[in-house]
Amino acid sequence: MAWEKRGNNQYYYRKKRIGRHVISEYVGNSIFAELLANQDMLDCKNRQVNMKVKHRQREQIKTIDREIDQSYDQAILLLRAILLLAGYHPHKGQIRRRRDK
Amino acid sequence: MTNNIVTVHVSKDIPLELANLIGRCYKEKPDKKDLMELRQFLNNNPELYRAVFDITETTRNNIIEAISDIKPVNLALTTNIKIIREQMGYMQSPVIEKMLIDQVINTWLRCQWAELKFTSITQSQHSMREGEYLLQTLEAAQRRYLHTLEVLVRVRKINRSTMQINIAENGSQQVNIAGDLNKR
Repeated sequence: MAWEKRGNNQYYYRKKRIGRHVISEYVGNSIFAELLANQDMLDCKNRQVNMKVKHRQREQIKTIDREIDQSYDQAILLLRAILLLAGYHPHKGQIRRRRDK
Repeated sequence: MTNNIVTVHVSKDIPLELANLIGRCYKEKPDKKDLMELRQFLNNNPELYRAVFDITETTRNNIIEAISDIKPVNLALTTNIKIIREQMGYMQSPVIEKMLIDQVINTWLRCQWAELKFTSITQSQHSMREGEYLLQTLEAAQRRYLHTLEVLVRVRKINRSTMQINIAENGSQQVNIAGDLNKR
């Protein structure tokens, strides 16, 4: 969003993206244009704050998922060790017990 | 809902040496020397079991904190988890099953959190991308939960030594009898 100089006056233009193009939308230089400009600035700040919050939430999700995976992997590793020592072995994706001789 | 990024502080981890050793042994016919080495390693490092339980507990606490930073809600969740754990026979289960029950609880909690997030976002204005992302995390959480449950069921099946007798006669139907050797 920007105030653009045309001659001796400044006019408020809103920028919009339509597909690959960015178009300027004329608003004006009246008191309403100023109000709209302020509102747009606030909206922009809010969007930035929301984006930061969302980014942090995503990071939190990723961290917790990583923790779950790590603790699961460690439990499975230990489980395999216990089963191996108890006489079990993997066989084509199954766990089988070795026959006592 | 808290926005703090939670980090795990794990004091002890499963060492790479053990992971490699298990990798060497985890085959149809493992080397006896490797198995001996594995047994010795576990005997010399009994704290490894504790480490796994500690990591799982820390993870669970982090998920509970992420779900809500309101103390009574946390307390209610913790109590609910204890009840579910008991219903799954935690106290009567051997160590390996306890480890897996803890994993099931963690993945179940993760599922609850994912569902909560997805439901709350679908009730408000949201972008398509955000919705898709949360749906993906929900599906991943459900997959993780089902997988862990499956592993627990398989291990429980192994732990209950079952005996199967097949009786078959010429021209007659085969009869299969299966039962627990160690009834609890």
